[in-house]
Amino acid sequence: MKYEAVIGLEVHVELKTNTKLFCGCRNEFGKKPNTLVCPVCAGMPGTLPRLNKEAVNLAIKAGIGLNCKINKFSRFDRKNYYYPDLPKGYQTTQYEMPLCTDGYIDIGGRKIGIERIHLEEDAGKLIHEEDKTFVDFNRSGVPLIEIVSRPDIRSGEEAALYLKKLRGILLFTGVSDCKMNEGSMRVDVNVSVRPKGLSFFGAKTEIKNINSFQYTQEAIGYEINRHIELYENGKTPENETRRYDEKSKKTYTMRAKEDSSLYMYLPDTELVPLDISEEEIDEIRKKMPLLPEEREKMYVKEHGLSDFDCENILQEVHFAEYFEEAAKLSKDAKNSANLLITQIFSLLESDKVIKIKPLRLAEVSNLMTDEVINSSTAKKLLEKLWEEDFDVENYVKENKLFQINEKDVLSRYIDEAMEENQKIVDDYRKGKKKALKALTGIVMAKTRGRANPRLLNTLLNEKLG
Amino acid sequence: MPNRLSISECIKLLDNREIKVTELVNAYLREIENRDEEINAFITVTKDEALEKAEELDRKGKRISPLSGIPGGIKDNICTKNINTTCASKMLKDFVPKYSATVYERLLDNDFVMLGKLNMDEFAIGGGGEYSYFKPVKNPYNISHMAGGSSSGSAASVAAFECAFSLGTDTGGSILKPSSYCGVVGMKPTFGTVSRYGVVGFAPSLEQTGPITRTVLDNAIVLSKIAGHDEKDPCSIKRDLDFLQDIDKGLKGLKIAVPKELMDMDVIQRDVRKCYEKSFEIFKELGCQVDVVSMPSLQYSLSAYYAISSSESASTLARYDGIRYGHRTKEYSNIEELYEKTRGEGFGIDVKKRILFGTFLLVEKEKNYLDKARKARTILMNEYERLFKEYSIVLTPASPITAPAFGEKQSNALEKYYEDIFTTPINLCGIPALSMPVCKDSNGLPVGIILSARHYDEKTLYRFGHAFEAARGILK
Repeated sequence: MKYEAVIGLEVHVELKTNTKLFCGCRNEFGKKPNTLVCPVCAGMPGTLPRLNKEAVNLAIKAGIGLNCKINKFSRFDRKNYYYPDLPKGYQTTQYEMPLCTDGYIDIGGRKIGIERIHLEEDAGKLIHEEDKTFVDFNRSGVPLIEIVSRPDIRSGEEAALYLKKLRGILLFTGVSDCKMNEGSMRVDVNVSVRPKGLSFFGAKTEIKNINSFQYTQEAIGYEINRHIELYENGKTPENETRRYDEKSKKTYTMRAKEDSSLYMYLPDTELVPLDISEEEIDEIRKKMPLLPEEREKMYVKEHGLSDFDCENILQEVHFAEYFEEAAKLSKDAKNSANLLITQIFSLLESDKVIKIKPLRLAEVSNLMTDEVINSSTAKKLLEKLWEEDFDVENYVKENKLFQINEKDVLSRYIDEAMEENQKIVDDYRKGKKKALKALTGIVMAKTRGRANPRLLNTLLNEKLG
Repeated sequence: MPNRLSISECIKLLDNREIKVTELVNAYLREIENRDEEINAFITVTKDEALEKAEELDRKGKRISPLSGIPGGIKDNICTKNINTTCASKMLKDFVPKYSATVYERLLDNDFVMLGKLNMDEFAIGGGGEYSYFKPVKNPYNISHMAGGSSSGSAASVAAFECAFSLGTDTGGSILKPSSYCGVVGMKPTFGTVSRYGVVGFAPSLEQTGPITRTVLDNAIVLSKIAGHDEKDPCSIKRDLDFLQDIDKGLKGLKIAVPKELMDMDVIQRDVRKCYEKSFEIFKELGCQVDVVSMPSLQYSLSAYYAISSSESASTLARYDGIRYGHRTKEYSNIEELYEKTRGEGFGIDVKKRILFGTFLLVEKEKNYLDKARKARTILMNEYERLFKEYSIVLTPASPITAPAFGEKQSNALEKYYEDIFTTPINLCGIPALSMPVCKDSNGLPVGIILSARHYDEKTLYRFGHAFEAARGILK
């Protein structure tokens, strides 16, 4: 029998606001435990939430970026459950009336539906030390959006693609920094399998808190196969929550799936319903930055970039902004893109900060375009620029790094090299074509890397005859 | 005895320097010392702070507000920075907040003199004042009777001349009912008028804070100083705050609605009915027209109220888990046990009942009890709205009975709920209401009425109340 997987994703994303969702505490990661806490986010008696408008606006931005309908009227509800990191004994979320509904992400020709995006608050964190457990409330009240896809995804690859697109949109709209290692993007997966062509749903398992897109893809792949195997053996998968183990690349049972009807939900009447005007939505729409897809189109059309180039440059917002800035100053933006991806990206450290001004990249790129320097000089220049900033043209002049484009000058270097390396010349003439490469290297070294590579090649071929 | 004076009388004396704040405060502190051992209105008396403040005000001389130098008490579910705020519960018996409720800060800004924290039903749940973890509040008119609740200490302290005024909170009659049992004037303002930030509530869609005083004018004076928009409370509204503008205008030609459905109820005691009907006569003499009207949905208000308030309380009271503050059980072997024992030990019986009932309603989704309650609420609101197009106020008794005696057998819990039949529709609809005494029953216990008006129309309630009070004369 042929099977078909039905996959839906629930993605939690922390919003990049200055302050928390319902109080004035700063929204920051990695601070000393319980230093970003006030009576409101600690759930002290009598305190009341005060909604952060910035969070609402970011959630609307996400909604627009994900092609959603922005609901002018939405409401906050309480989801009640007991856990030590949940100070009020309930999470304030949007259950019945979410802020955004009915969107989609285009994953290369196929639209994956988005059922809803709702605003909610994060909980604190438990810290286990030996036999003790501590609670850190710094994260308590940090604004989140939960993006719930429709069960339109059919494979782990599609899920990874969806996530990549989603991350790009959220990054480029400034909604979130989407750092999975800091928990600002968290992925839960729902997987079921059914005979292909039928429309009912099979038994569903949920895999919680997967750490990367790669693991998501692997976990889904594993889970699909596990379901199929069970069906093939006349068994049915349990409705349960599982976790993915990255080492063994398998999923394991965590707990039986809780019935969502057992959660106590009720409207949070400490907050007034959200009432958003058409004008407010338009205002945000007008200020939407270019999304990755629009940028990709522009890069291809205006600068002749390849898919590979686009994918690399669109990994991070500041990469894209860097490229766009350099491209404006470049005679050949495609060449600048090549230098950015092959040379500069290889210099990046974990913070991903580019330590070279876009102007300098353009200067180096332009000297290459004008055949003033060659690519190996460009590489050296960029490495040098990574350490300190300088005017590229002056530096090239002062250090005489010009490419040798004069036929007679280069000829002299070649003659010298051939004289000194008679054996290699002989080898070549005996038919050992690889010897050409060795001679090229020798000439390059003699010119301190400045030879015009095209000219060198022509001349060498002539001389070796 | 300066503590027998009304606030408006005190203001005159203080303005003319005929009395010192210290004298006034000392008179109240003496009354508390003499009487509160049997009334139990206070949980905490802030004597030293009160005297210090009084001396400071006398030194300063300048009065910045009508409330300057006026001694008042605060219900113990209103957070007062660095002063115990217990909610009369074992759960919070040692809780000292590091923040203040906005309403308390407003009073401080007006130079009032804080006398202390007032006893109440635990977490403002309960209607008699007997569900305080510490001690039951007794009715100053007869200490073998209850003071009513949940703002029991707030009403009793004012009636016993232990405070010039107090703040109470009202979720389903918690200001209006004890005010009537103790023969004082209580106001539940329009929802959103007084900031709730720092007020420990249990059912946010129903709650308001309001003043309890001995006269209607005093009440308007206090409300003027505590009301107003607060950005810390999302439900707080910007509105007209002149509550005194119509107070002397008289009542000629104004119309009063009396709901037939409530008149017909057989749970109303004979004396209560008599006093209620007497109030019609007084209003008629003042030039009002009293009409019997029909409000068929009133019958649903008790059920709707208990459904909504209980479900909200089950959620709102979830934060008392023993993790961060308040009571925590001594021995436990896992987190579930920590929760169960902490909450089992920390909450009293009435709070537990409310939480259990609310949890049942929230989990039992098939029957849609809550949806029905919300619908009833909307229908009720529409009924009020229609009435208020024609009538200035709706007039009802404050309670079907006068203050019950302690230990009096109540045949069942439902019967007790009936005490709230007149107050719960007011909270469900968020309208303002004034509770004030009419006369005394055959046992010498006060009988009160409730005047309710359209949203934001406290000034009309004060107008009616002020005229009625003058016509009624001394409580007999």
